[in-house]
Amino acid sequence: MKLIILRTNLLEALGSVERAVGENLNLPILKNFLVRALKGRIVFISTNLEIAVECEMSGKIIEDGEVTIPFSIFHSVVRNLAAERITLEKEKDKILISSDNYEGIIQDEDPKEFPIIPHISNTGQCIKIKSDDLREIFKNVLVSVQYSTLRPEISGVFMSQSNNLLTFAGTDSFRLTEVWLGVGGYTSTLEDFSLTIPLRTAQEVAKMFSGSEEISIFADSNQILFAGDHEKIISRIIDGAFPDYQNIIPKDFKTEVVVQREEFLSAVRLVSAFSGKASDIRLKSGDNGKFLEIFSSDAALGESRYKIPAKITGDDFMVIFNWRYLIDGLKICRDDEVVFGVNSSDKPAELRGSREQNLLYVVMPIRG
Amino acid sequence: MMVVMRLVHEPMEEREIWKNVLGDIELQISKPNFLTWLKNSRLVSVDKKEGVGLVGLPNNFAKEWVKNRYHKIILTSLRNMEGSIKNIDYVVVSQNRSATNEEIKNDKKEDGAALQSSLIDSKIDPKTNLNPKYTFKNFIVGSSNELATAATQAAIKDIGKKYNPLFVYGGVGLGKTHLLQAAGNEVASRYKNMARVLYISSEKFINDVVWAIRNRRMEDVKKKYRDIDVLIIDDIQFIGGKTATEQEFFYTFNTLHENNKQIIISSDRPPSAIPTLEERLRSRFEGGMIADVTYPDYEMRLAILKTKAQTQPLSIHENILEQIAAKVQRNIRELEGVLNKVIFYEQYKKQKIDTKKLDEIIGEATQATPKNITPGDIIRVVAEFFEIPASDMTNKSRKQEIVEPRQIAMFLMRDILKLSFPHIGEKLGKRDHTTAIHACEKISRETAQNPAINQKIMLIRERLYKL
Repeated sequence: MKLIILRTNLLEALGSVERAVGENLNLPILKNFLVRALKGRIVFISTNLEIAVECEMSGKIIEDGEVTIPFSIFHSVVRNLAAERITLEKEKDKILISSDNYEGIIQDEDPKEFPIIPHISNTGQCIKIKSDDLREIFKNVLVSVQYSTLRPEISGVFMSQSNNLLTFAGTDSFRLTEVWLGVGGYTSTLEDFSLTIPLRTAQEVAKMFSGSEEISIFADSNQILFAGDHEKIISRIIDGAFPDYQNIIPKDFKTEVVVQREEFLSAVRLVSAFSGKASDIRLKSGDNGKFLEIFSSDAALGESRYKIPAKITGDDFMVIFNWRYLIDGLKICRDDEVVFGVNSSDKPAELRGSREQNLLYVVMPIRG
Repeated sequence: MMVVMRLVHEPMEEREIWKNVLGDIELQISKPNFLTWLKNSRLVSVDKKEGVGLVGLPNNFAKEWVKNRYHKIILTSLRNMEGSIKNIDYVVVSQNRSATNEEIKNDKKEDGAALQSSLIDSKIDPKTNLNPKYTFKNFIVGSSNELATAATQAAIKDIGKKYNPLFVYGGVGLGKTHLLQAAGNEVASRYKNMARVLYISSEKFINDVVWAIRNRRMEDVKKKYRDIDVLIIDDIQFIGGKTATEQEFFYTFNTLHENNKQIIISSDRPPSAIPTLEERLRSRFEGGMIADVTYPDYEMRLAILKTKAQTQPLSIHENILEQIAAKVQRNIRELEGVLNKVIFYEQYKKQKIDTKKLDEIIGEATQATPKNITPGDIIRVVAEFFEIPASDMTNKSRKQEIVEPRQIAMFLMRDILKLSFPHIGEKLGKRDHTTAIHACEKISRETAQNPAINQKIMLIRERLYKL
């Protein structure tokens, strides 16, 4: 094998495969990535046996072939090398990295020992989404997701397609984000489905595909594949049913508070300084529904109270929340004005933009 | 036991074969490779007629690797054990593992998160709907629930044979759900995967039936509810009057009952007192065992509080627990609510709880009591309860059978309405305020000592709150 590649292209591809370079005591080859030069295509592949990333790049192939290269050594060489073009060449069991005035030799490991990347059986049908939309959706949903060894089935992003709606949801059982796209937001040739994408995969997807490209999503019964123009990521999907969260989302509210988002956000931040160990702050409707009172106290610190103008309709209320959860929710609503729907101190509350049509955030109060 | 035995089909043979195959392969490939790719593999099935063995692997990477690299050695080795095998198929099987105790222990949330309510109860087993926190171990048995507990334990010892259906009834927050769930958990742990248990609230059952009718998926619902060994339905009284659901439940009930499957039902009142329940269902409920759960006495309430408090990292002063047990009498859920609040204040607000604060907390927690009870209501309800004319309550008579009701009425006026003693005396026949003070002290002393009077007051309260 012999290749000549531009340094910038190399760096970009390395950044991509870095996401899946593994650390495995039993299988040290996972620290390597696979370089495959075949039929005019150069592909870098890495895997940690959970996910696999494939990145295609342009370069000149002088001779076809396959090698595996330890990621960290190669990455630091390329990063520190000043040359514009880099030549990669395999000679017996050595890999030669060279430029005009540099030469490095790395031990090759047999590419046959590198794991075989699984393929999706169903490649005919897929969903197509703009990468900007996909990244945004994942970022918003991931706010509510946490890794839990106890509950693997919610340690990920739930994705489902039904009735011409593509829905994404995530929860750590204390709060929940749901984001959906209607017709026009995506195209799909897949039949209705639902699956859960592991947290780690979703995090990587949210960072990948930086360009404005179209992402194709393929899925079969136990894998999902996201494919962009140059990059691909394939992952297992979580087995175990995602909870039937639709029942949790409140249908109506005893009280609805309409409030400026920025104002609410800074009020919560301000008052949170005085909250106790439980991160508790108290929200209360003010007189005549003209303002929202945000209050916190701690025996050791003192207390603070902030009133912000709001339009409150419905019953008076007083509910305690974890301020971190409120901030998370307020950050992902995009409108200037948010609607905060409350029921009672033991029922979930809901946060959404006043005009927003495709995102909602549900949060559970603190007892007490 | 027959019911249970039918469900046993441990693939002993496959497991034995696979163990031998692995032992063989381990010698042929490197240890790291063996650990990485074959550690969690198993032989799913052997089809002797077709000569195909199905090998299950934990993920696609393992499947691809084993299929491409080790197919030959596995086939050879498998054929040595089982001559009929000609080919092998590979499949990804889920690692249905549940969290270990270690993990549960390590999952301790950061400080304070204990009070954060959860959207989804994270511990509920999605298959059985049971919450593992309810067990017989942490269920306090006292005179008020002795019969129901014994009946439940007998029923699950001999599934479907002894008391079928078992019908448990009692007021709100007295531990019916705990008892039912404990039964379910006991069955699940005793028979492992051999007995399928399903716990469900009647509300969920109604929702399922409505959903099925709307989406024309009745078969799914039938399958879900009829393909089990122990069906536990909580709060069955809500089913009354919902004809389609009642009918579906009736069929489900019959199917299960005929097949000797255990049915356990709870309700807030006996079958005969559920007004809208269809006659044929009522007679079926009454055909099994009916047991009631009543109000716990002071000792039992204290025992419950102590057990609860023990699960908390913070130690609560005995004195506080005693006060809670004495003051919160109606409902175990409220008892726990008050305890949780006390913990909240002590632990997170660093406030010391004194009697005044405690009263405040109890007031908040039990605030659900209606505000519009009048002194007249109390007199009327007490008189009705003791079957004496209401006028006797306010006249000068000092007959024993009148004095006690009058004192109870005074006590309740003080306790519920927080009226002043002179006012109470005034309301009950222009008596002196010292009479009212004496009455309140006497009754509150007696409630702590005499379960009979406690029970009476409880029942009167219940009637009052129903007004």
